[in-house]
Amino acid sequence: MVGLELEREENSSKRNLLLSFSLIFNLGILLTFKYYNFFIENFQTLSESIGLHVNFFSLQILLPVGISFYTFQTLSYTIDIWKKRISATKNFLQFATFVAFFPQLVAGPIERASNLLPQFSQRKKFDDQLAISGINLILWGLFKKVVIADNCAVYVDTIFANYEEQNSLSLFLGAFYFAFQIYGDFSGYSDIAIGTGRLFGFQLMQNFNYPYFSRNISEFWRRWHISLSTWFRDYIYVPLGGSKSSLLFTIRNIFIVFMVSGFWHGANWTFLMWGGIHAVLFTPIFLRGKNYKIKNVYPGVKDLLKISFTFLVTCLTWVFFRAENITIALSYLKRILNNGDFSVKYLDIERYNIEFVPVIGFFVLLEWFSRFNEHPFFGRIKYLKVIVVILSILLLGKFFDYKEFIYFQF
Amino acid sequence: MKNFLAYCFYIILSTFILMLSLDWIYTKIYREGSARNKVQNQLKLKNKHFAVGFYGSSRIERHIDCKLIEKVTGKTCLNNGFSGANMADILMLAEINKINGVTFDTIFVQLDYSYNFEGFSPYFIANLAPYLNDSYADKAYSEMEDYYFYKNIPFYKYLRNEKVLGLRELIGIIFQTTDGRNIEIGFNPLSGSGLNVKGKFPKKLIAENSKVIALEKLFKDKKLYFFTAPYCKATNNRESINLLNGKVKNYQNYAKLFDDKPEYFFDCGHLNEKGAKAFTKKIVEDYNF
Repeated sequence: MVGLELEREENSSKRNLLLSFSLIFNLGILLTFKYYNFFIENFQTLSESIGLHVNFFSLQILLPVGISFYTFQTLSYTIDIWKKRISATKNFLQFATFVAFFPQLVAGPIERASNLLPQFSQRKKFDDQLAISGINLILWGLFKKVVIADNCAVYVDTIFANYEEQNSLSLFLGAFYFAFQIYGDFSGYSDIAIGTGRLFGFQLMQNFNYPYFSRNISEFWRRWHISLSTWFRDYIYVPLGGSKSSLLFTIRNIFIVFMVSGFWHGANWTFLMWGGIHAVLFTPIFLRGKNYKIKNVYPGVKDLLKISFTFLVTCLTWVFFRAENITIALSYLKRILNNGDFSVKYLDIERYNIEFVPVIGFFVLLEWFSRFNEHPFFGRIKYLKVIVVILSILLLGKFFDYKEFIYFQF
Repeated sequence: MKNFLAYCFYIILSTFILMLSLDWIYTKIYREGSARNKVQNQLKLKNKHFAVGFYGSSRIERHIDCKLIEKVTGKTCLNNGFSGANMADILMLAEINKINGVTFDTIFVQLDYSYNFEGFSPYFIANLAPYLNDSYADKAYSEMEDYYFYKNIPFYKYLRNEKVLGLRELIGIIFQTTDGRNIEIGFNPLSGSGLNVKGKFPKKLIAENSKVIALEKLFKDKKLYFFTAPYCKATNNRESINLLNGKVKNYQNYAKLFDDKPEYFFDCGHLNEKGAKAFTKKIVEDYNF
C-alpha cells in the first residue's frame, strides 16, 4: 500500500513521510524481534555500572526465520519506488511472492525488486539449459553443505568449546575450518536457492564469487555475500554520500556500513567487532585506490601470496564471528600466538585435528579450476566431475548428524 | 525438456549405481576386514571357549582386568563390555556369541540403572548394520522406524550410521588400525582420579526387564551371575540399586564397596586402573573361579 501511495503521490514531503512510515514499520519489527533484548541487556548493564538499578522486561519470543533477509528485501522495494527507479506493483500476489519467494526466503540472496518482481509477471517457458544449470548448482550447493560445512562443524564445535585446552595448531585449524564451514554453509544454501529458482525459470542474483580467492579485503567484499554488500552500498553508503565528500566523511561512511553489516548478523558485540575489524582492514585499501576489480586471469606468485594473506586475515576475523563473546575471541587469538605448540593432536571427538585438511584441499582445487564458472560441472569431463561429487557426497556427507544452516539464525 | 530429463536420469542412475557399489564394498570390508572396535571384534569372534565371560557397559570394559584374572586363576577370560551398552545389546551379543560358537563356563553381567532400558544402544545397533542380511541383525532392525529404508535402499545403513560405519572407520579397517582401545582382551582402564558425578539413578526400577529374563534362559545350563560395580558415595539415588535384590537371581551389589577409597575412582561411575584391579581381585575372591 505504501508502495502504491508513493507512486501516486507527487508531493515530496508526503512521499518522505510515507517512506519514513515504511522504514519505521519494517525496521521496528526487525528491532523488536532481533535487537530489543540486546539493547535492554546492555542498557541495564550500563545503568548498574553507574549505580542505577532499573528492571526492564525482556522478550521471550522466537525470532521469525529469515527476518533480516525479507525485511531488507521489502525495504529495497519501497526505497526504489521512492527513488522512482521502479514502479509499484498493483498485484498483491506478486508482491507477496517477491517478499516470500520460497527458495531464498530464509537466507537470501537478498533480491532487488527490479530484478525479481518483473519475473513474476513474465510467462514462463521451460528452458532446458537454465534447468540443467539449476540442477548443477543444487548438486554443488549440496556438496558444499553436507561435505564441507557439516564436517568442518564437527571440528569447529569441539575446538571452540575447549579452546583453553587446545594447542596453537588446533586453534588455528579451528578458525580455518570455521572459514570453510561458514562459506560451505552459506554459499551452499545460496547455490541451492539459485538452482531451485532456475528450475522454476527464475534468475536470482549471484551471492558468492569464490571469495577466498580475493587478493585483499576490498575484493573479498565484492565476492562475499554480494547481495548484502551491494544492498549496503546502494541503500546506506551511497545515500550517506559515499566517497563523494571529504576524506573524513568517506571513512565515516565506510565504518557505518561495516558496523551495520556486523550488527545485521546478530545482536552481539562479537558481530560489531567483526564488522569493525573489516572496516579497519578495508579503509586503507579503499583509500589507496586498490579496490581491485575482479580479473579473470591466471594469477602470478605475487597474487597467490596476496590471496593467501587475505585468506589468513579473513580466518582470524572469523574467530570473532564464531566466539560467544569478545573476551573468548581475544583469548582464543592470544592462545594461538602464545601457546607455540604446533603438534598434531587427537581431539576428544576421536579425530585428529588435521585429518579433514586434505578434503578441504580437494575442495579448494575444485573451486580454483572452476573459478570462472559458477560450478565445476563444465568442460569435457563434466560428467565425470558429477560422479566424483556425488561419490564425495555419499562417502563424506553428513545426512543425519547435520547442522542447520548458520544463516537461518539471521 | 528432453535434455533436462536425460540429465536428471543420468544423475539418478549414477547415484543409484554408486550406492549399490558402495553398499557391496562397505559390507564386504566391514564383514570380512579386521575389527576396529570391540563390538566388531565380538561380532567376528568364532569358535572359542573362555572359562569366564563378562558382559556389560563401560563399567565392565573399564573395571574387569581379564589379564589379571588369567594370571591369578590360570583361567581364560573375555571382557565383552563396551560404552553405553544396554540390556538388549548384551542379550543380542550373548546370542551372537552362542551362534558363533563362543562359549563360557561362567558368565557375569553387570547391572545398574540400565536395568530400566530394554532397547538397543545406537552404537551397538550401528555396528550390526553390515550384518543386516543375517536373521539376528534383521530382528534387531525390524523394530526401527526406518526399517524399510535399511532393507531396501542400498547404502542407507552406512549413511544413517556414518559416525560408526563411515569412510573414516572403513579406512581404519583397511589399514588395520583400531579405535585406540584394547579390543581383544577388552580391558581399557582409565587413568587419573576424581569424583565427578554424571547423571543420577532413577528412584524406581521397572518391574522386570525382559532381556534379563531372556539372558537367564539363554544361560540356564551355565553359571550366570549378576552384579553392580562400585559407584562413589555422591551418586544420586544410589540406594535405589538395592531394588535389584528382589528382581534378579544370583545378584551381588558392590555399589558401596569402595566408599572409603575415593582414590580408586576416575569419576563417580567409573574406577581408575588401580580401582579396577582391586575390584577384579574382589570378584575373583568372592566367586572363587
